[in-house]
Amino acid sequence: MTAVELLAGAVEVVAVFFAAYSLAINTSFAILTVLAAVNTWRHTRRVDFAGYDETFGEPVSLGISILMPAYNEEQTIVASVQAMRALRYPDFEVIVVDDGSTDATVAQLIDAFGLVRAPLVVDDAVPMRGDVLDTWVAPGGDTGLVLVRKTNGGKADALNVGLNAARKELVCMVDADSLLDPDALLHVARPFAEDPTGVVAAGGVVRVANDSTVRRGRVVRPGMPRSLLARIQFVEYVRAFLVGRAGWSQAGGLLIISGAFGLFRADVVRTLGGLATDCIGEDAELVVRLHRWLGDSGTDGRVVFVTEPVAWTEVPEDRATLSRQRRRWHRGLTEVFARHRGMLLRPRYGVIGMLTLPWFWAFELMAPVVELAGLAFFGVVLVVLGLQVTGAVDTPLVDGWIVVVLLGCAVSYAVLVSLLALLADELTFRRYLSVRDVLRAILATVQEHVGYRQLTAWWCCRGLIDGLRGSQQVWGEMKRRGFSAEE
Amino acid sequence: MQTSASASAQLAWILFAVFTGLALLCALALLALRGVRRGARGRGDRRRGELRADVLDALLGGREESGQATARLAARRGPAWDRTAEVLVDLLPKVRGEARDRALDLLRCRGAATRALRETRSRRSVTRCRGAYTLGALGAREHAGRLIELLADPASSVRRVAARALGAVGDETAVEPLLTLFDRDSHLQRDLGFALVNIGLGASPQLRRVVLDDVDEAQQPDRGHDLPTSGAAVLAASVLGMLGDPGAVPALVEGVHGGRPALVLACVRALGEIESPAGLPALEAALGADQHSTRIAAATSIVAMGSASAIPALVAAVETDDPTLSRAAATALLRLGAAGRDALTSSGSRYAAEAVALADLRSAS
Repeated sequence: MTAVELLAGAVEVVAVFFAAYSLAINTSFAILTVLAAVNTWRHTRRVDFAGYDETFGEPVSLGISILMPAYNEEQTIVASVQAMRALRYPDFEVIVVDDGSTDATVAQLIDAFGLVRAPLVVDDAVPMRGDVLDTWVAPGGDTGLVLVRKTNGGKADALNVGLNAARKELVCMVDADSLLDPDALLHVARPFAEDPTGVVAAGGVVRVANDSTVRRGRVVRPGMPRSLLARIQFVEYVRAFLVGRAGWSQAGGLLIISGAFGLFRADVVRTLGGLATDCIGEDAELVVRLHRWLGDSGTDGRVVFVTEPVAWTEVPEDRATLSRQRRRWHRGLTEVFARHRGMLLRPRYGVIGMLTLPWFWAFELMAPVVELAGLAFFGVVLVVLGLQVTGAVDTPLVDGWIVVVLLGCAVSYAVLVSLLALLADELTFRRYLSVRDVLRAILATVQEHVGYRQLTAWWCCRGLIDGLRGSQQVWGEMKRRGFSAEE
Repeated sequence: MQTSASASAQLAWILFAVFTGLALLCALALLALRGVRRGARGRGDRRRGELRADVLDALLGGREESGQATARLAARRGPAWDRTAEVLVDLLPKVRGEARDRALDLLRCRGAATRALRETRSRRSVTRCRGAYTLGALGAREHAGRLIELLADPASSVRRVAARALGAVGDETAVEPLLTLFDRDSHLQRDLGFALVNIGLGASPQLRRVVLDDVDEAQQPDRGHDLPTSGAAVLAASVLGMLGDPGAVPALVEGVHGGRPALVLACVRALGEIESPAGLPALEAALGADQHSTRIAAATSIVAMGSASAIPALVAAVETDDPTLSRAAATALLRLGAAGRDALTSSGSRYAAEAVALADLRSAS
């Protein structure tokens, strides 16, 4: 074989690898979409008979402690807490943990709710890094709203303090800027009520709230974001949550619950030692560690995804904030894998070890690397094509048309998977967008592949490197526009 | 090699065409679906608005207004009546008195129970759920037998709905089948408890029997006490407490004295809920139980009856510094008034200080 033939062969092999990878990742997403649709369809058809209203009259319902870590949230904290307190559930408390805010977050809360100082016990079941400064309760000694002030120690540490202050059997971890649907707790708590010893954690859907109409902390009318970046993230969230989480839950392999909205058995989280404060992706790390503990201890427990409850969150609309976020998320994922790589392909961890983790490794963790490598390969191919066309190279190394068509296949298949996710969402979600908004979402599935995917792949790769090097993480500020309010 | 390359090219083109075609179809389907649903929703909103107005008038209006609205609703046929029936059935658990009676009359005169019964025989589990749910909402006692049969349905969702419906119907013949279901479907515990409580005091004799049977089993020689307590017995004891039946006290006392640990705990809690003085000696005996949780439950139950004899045990519980137990014990001590508060004040526990501070805030407000 000549060197040219070898080179041509190598190019072909590499091209086949990228094509096969693209086929595999999109096919797996398509399968997850079908599973998610089944999961959601079943849930939707039964929700009419779920008896949620009867929950209020039931003799026993598990109490929930909502843990809200807050850092410099003066713009939104009062509205967020008001909305949380107005959730429909028979027995719950809201614990705001202020992580050393330097703005008026604490003053706003004390003033808005008339909080009074009280010597509440924050025990040490879970290690804490920061110091608890003081504790406050609602007037009249009402522990339905509690504020714990602490020195700065990060979000995970704030959640651990909240865990130590919690009085209820279940803990719900939310972001301070999350907006929950009024019945979110009723829905997400149901698996625990049905199977108190079996279910250890449950997650719900997180949707994009940008340019939705919000009234008193409630999304009353979902909207399509006006910014292109946010619109593309809208599609991403539908794909990731509806498909990624619901699909995996249906397959019995749900790996991750969003930090924006997750419900856990408090005793189990305390047994695990709370959240890791030395890990960026503390929410994902907790659930993976939970799976590890279930496997190691032989405990029969399940992590489930509930399609109905919805949390809404604001996504970044500028590149700088988005890049920091994606870099941070991917660093978190890298750290999780580094810590728990011993779970990979181990039968004792069931579907999680044998299927979910390998899938995440191949198609979440390494996907940005493969994507960038594919981009580089495509760039090389274009250069070689150019050389062939100009006659600088006599022997044809690359069939240009095949490469272009293969690339087209990869993109069209990915677009198809996103559209399937949107279609599944349209069939099962009960809050609907206008026809124009749906059209914009459809366009976003294509626009995602013109620059956005490439940029996020680059940011994720940097996050991967950060995670492998253990670099110092700087969270940075997220520019918030806030939600549009209806008068 | 050239043949292979052209085959690859052909395959690539085919795949590209297929994916692109499917994507276009998907996009069109999405747009069409949204458009159709938007139109249907608009029409649906208008229809729902009219229907709601008539339903409210029929259930809550004055005699003449109600009569006219009822006549309009009763005149509906086909899908229009189906929507009306759905709204009425949905409202049944939420209304009381004359409004509920009017809704029931309207549904029954249109054969809602017969239709619901037919639905319980559908091949589709969701339809069987709807039928069972409707029978329960209608309080169709005459069809309790069918609901009991549905407790053996292959779909767990149907079994759940049937259990709740039996509670809504309130037929005592369902008690034993419900308790039997617990052994098969322990994850239906909440629904079964709900149903048994709703059946009411009529369930009490059978529930007491289940508790006593478990005690008898525990008393058997040869490892009787080593076997786990029947979950149904624990459920029965819990429900007896929720029912607050003083007639259940002797059975619960038996459970405290002779039951296995899980049943002892459930009986202690139940006696606390019933608050009958006849149960006090058994509760005082339970202060010396092996299980920590049982001792606490006994102490709080005694406090619930206003007896100060449990103060030392409760103070000890506060000082364990176990968050759940300490707080429960502190709350119980405060309920005893000055004696309990004095005991808390002299305790060095953080939970005691917390409880006293919160009590002060409450009394100051």
